[in-house]
Amino acid sequence: MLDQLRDLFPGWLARPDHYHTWYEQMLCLIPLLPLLGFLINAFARKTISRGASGAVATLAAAMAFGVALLCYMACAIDSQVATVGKYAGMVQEHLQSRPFQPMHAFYGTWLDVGGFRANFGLYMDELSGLMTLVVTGVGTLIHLYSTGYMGHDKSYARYFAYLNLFLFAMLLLVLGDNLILTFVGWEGVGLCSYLLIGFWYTDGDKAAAGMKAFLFNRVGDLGFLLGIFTLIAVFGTVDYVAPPEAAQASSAVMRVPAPPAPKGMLDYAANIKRIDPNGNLTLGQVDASQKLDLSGTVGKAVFPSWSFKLAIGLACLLLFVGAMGKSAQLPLYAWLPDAMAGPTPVSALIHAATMVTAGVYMVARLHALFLFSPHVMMFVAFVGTATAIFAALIGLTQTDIKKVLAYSTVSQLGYMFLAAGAGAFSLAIFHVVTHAFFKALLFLGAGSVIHGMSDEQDMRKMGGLRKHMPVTFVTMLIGSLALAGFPFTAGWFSKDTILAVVLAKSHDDPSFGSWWMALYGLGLIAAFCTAFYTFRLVGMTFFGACRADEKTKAHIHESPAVMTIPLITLAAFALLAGWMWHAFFSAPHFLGMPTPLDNFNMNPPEIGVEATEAQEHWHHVHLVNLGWTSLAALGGIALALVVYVAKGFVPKGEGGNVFTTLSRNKFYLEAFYDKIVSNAFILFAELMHVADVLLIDTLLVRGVAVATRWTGAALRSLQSGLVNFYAGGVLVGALVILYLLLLS
Amino acid sequence: MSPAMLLFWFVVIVIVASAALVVLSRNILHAAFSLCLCFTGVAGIYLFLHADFVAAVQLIVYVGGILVLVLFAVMFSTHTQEGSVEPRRGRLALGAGLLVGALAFVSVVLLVKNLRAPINANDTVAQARAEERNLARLEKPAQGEEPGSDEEIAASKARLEGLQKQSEYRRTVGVDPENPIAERRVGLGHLFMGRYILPFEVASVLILAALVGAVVIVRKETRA
Amino acid sequence: MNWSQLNELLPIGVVLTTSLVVVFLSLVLAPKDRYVLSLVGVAGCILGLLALGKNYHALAAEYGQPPVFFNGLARVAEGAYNPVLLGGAFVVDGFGMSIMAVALLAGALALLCTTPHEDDSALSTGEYFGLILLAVAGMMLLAVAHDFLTLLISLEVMSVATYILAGSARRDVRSGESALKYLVLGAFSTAFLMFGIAFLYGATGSLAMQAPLVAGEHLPLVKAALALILVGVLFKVGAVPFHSWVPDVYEGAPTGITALMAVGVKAAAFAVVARLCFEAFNMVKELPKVINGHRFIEIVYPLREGWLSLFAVLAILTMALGNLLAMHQNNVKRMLAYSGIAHSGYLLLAFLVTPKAGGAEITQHLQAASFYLLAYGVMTLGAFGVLSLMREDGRPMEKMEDFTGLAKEHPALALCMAVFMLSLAGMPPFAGFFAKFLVFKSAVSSGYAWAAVLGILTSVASLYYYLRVVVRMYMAPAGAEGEPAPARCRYAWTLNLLIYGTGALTLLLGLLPQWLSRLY
Repeated sequence: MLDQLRDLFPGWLARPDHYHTWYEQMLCLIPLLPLLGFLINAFARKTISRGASGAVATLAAAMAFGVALLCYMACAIDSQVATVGKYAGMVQEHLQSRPFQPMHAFYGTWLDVGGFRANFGLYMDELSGLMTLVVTGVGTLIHLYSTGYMGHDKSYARYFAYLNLFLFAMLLLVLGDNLILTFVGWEGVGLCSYLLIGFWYTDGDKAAAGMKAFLFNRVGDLGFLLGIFTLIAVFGTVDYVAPPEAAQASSAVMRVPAPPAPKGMLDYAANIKRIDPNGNLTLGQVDASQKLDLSGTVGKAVFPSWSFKLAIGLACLLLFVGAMGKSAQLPLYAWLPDAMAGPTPVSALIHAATMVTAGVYMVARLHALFLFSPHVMMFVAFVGTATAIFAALIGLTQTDIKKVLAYSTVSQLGYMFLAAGAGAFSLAIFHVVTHAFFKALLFLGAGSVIHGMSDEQDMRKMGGLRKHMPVTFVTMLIGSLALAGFPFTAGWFSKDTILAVVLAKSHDDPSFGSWWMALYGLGLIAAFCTAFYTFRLVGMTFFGACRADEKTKAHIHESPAVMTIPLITLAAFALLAGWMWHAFFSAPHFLGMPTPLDNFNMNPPEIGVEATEAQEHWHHVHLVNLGWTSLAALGGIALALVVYVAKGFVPKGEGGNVFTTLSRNKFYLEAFYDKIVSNAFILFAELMHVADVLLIDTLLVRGVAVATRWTGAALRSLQSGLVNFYAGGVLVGALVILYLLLLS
Repeated sequence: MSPAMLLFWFVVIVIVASAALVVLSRNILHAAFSLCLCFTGVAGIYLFLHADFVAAVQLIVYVGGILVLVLFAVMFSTHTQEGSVEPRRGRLALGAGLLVGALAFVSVVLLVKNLRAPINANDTVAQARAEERNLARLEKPAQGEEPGSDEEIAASKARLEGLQKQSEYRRTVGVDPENPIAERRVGLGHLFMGRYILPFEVASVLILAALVGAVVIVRKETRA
Repeated sequence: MNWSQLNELLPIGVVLTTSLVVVFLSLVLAPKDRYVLSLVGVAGCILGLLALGKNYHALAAEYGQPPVFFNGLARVAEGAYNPVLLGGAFVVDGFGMSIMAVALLAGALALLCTTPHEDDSALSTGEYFGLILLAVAGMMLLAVAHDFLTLLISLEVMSVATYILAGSARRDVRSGESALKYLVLGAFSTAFLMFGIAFLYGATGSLAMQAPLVAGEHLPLVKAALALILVGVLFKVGAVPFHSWVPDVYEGAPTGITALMAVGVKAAAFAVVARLCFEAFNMVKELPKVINGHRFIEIVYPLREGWLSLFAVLAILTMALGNLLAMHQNNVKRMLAYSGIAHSGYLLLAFLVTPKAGGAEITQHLQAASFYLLAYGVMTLGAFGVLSLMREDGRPMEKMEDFTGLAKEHPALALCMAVFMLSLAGMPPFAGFFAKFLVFKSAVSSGYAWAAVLGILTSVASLYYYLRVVVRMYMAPAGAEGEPAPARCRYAWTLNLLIYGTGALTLLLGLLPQWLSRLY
């Protein structure tokens, strides 16, 4: 029995004969703790008290965060140093000098069929480690906030069960060491998002919004799945990096400083130094055993005349379609604003901070593959910019406080893809991180406002709240400054640098130069719009006179401490997280990915060394950009303050000029989806049914009935007629098959 | 045309005509009797194929057993006298049915036409032996005969190898090279008790299923 | 002849014996104790599974690595263990055994599904239970049948039993209609099968599965014979264009019997499809390989090119039609019938191999197919189990509306149903995901990427109608507040246990598919 168990879970029970530390074994705790919380809340919700279920969920998230922090630090500093006490002093040192040592825990083979294998394995490198920290950290704060926000809800335990399940799935997505595991998490977060959007399921509209989110995501998933299959066809594996060598042999957790043989997709990609026009590969380390053999059965069978580059490009394009669905990019964005039907902390966690950035994470995870196809990268940048400007324009006229934030999220996600498309993957992730802080803050603040306003979400009925809710006001102001890109807030660092890279690209990229210039311009306009609608929100909500009715007015109160503590914490991060910029920007390969500087083939400037010409150029570009972005941000903020604070303008929600009508109606794209696309889908199914009925019922039965009447005989019974025609169908089918086989 | 051929065509016409009557007759009793004639005719065809045992089984089981049962059922049921079982089909359906049926018929005829002779399992072995003799003759000719040329010998060897392989395959798939075709009944018995014992036994399970099924269908419904 | 070979038939023998025991036991039992009969039947199925396990271990012991499939013409040296038994009448391999297990599972569920139906006396007689077991025996035999005579007879055992079972709910008009349609069309399709077998015998003088090997100059006739045999089998599978009977028959039959047809009959028929594709459609080239003292034969494939394109087209049509028509259904049972058609299409994808595929590749494809069958079987059985519990005043509740708010009244059942639906739609981490994944992957790796793309497309679309059930169960409240909810589910602990079991298995097969693939 024990032997069989050991066979099933080699990572668990094997007695490792080599050195490893206890926190590496703990890697699996990061996703498992929330799972445990989910199980407790799901199956014991009748027996434990409300307080206990909230505490269990929050504790599970907090412990996951703690473990993640330990593991991250264990990777960051030398593994031989086993005492926790030494960590604190060494973190700073690491950030500057020490290379990050990825941790790869292997828990067994999941599936090994037909020459294809997928593992249970968790992989923490800088990228997934950082994402894990953000997910668990922001997650913990939002759990804490939820204990206050959802305090009056009937299905308290169910809510926390879903929230913990979401964390589990998200962490699986982030930490999984292969694409299949990521996909499982990917689908899992989709399912949880669906459950949480439709959480108040007595409301038909909200249930429908959940359904919409799920179905839109499935369109993306189609792309994702096809992308996985393409990658399997090309590489024959879905592992990101090779599973630990010893894990295959002795099946134990171990550390992998450098993969010994390129077996994972990224190992392959990293080893490919050059691709000639015929698609032949030159590998970095010339070794017959390491050669990527595309002449093997699989790749050749699927892409008989394709080059490696083309196949990878196709895979990346398909994967990006998946990312478009999950990260709400045009044209698959429409589900995200509707998803605001869910509880506000859910919007903060899932639809702002974590899940929707999964697409960006996936692109960054596979950046080595995306780098092979500049055209796909360009496409990514285009889609990102289009989404950024489109959503920003819509955001200008929305009156529902959560809808404004939702469109703002869509727009910011567009910036992230713009960064990824420009090749600055680490910047995309940087923006993911800063955005997670300030957008979660804004959503939680909005939740606090909604909570105080007795569930009112319409900003036209708010106003003057800064006196009643001072903490919420100050924290939200900080979040708004960050979102608007006010200098030296977190959002400024990330957004400004993204735009700087795009501007630099326009000088630097010979083939797409003018395109990049256009994207830069659009990005600037979007930045201006962002600043405007952000402070429109602040102005309409917190300034002016209160426009609520008397009953609501009497109830307005500041939220309890469990809700304001997360706000304050997040506000601190929204102010300060930008200073991580240094680490993101100037480390040679931060997050194991190219930094913006890599786009220009330069080494980071070192202190005390004369800057090169390229560095000077970059510096110049950066300064020019700084002027433009500051102008956009400050201009937008100033204009909004003039209109909504000084003049106290309140939109009526109807009429207005052509632009406001278009913007308010989301450029009629969502109406198009609702009316045309979803109906077309149903229509197609109807059509098939009609064809079936027409063919069998109408044409044959009725036709025969008419013919029968014509000959004057009695009507036949419908049933026997059907059987006859079924049999006729069988006979015809049989003849077709007979001849197909005979003539082949 | 030989008398046997005349008889054969007579039987064929009887079968086709009676089968058509079964389908077209509006009186179910007539249809049942036509079916009787049809079955008997088929037994005649079996006789022409020298399958006298199968012909006897056909008569005993189908004519003697099943048809009698059908007739009983028809006569016991109440609506026999009205006769009309089913109104005529529409022309469209009739036309389509005839077309597809004709196509199917033509396909079958075309397929079977090329079947040169019923498989003679002795063929390969016999041919292989003949080829062996031929090869021996080519290699060591009897007195007064020319030895074969090298090409002839090679071709003969290749043929022989092919034939040997064929008989090996035949053994693999269970075509007995020494199947005594003449002793059909004995052979049949041997097959049923030998190679096909499993299907033979399973046939009893089939009958059991039918029997139990009959009970399920006819038993009176009782409230538990 | 070595009679100890009959050992291999022990699982079937157990089931047959149980069917007789059940029939005779019903004579002595009081009508109200008849539920015991179904339990005895289930015990028989479990015994059958145990016997299967024992045989499996014997096989594994003989070969070290248990063979998935006796590919083509596995012949073994003198005195060694012979997988092809009784002169070739049947073959016991991992694939056949997995199909047998699915059939046994389906039988157990069909037996249990009827226990909550005591109000319909025809559904709880000893004969009824006996027939279910006879049908299961037919399926098991079909799964290992290795010559066309055995194949035909065991197909008939299965069919005759299911014809009658489909019509056994005699109070329900639809049930009779279902039985009649099934009988007429089934007999029609069997005629094709017999015609094909007759052609084959005429052309080759053999009834063995590998008979086409000696086709010689009669190759066209052999091709025609195989086409006709294929028609007979594809009819049972419910592949387009032989699908039209499926919705009517599935809807009308008692739910347990529908499950038996949707899972057991389909699995057994797919076993025949596998043996046709990978054995009958091949021809022998050479003999010399010897592995571990077992002699194997290399094969060439003059028939493959033909059926590959045929199968690809059929698979596409079946997936597309099944899924699209399922979207339209408001009756869950009918929806599951169409979804069953669609799943047949996915399964057909598993039989697309590269024209020159050898034993190892075929093994991979068969692993995909048998995993799919097992996963599909488990989740479909569970779904039908839940459906059969949905009754009010002896009237089945099969409409979408009837599921409204089920999660409130029967959270566990609703959870299981949700798992089955999501798994059928191919959501990870349930069994259905890996099943589809493997099938699509095998199609892609044989160069049928376009077929896999269409498969993924239809599978994504299929979520639409599976999710409707989930939404009904979870997203809408049951009745107005204060009103007592309708007691629409009859509790039957045996069946509930089986449903929970299949639910757990659906999850387990998704989480640890490796565990299963170790078995064969």
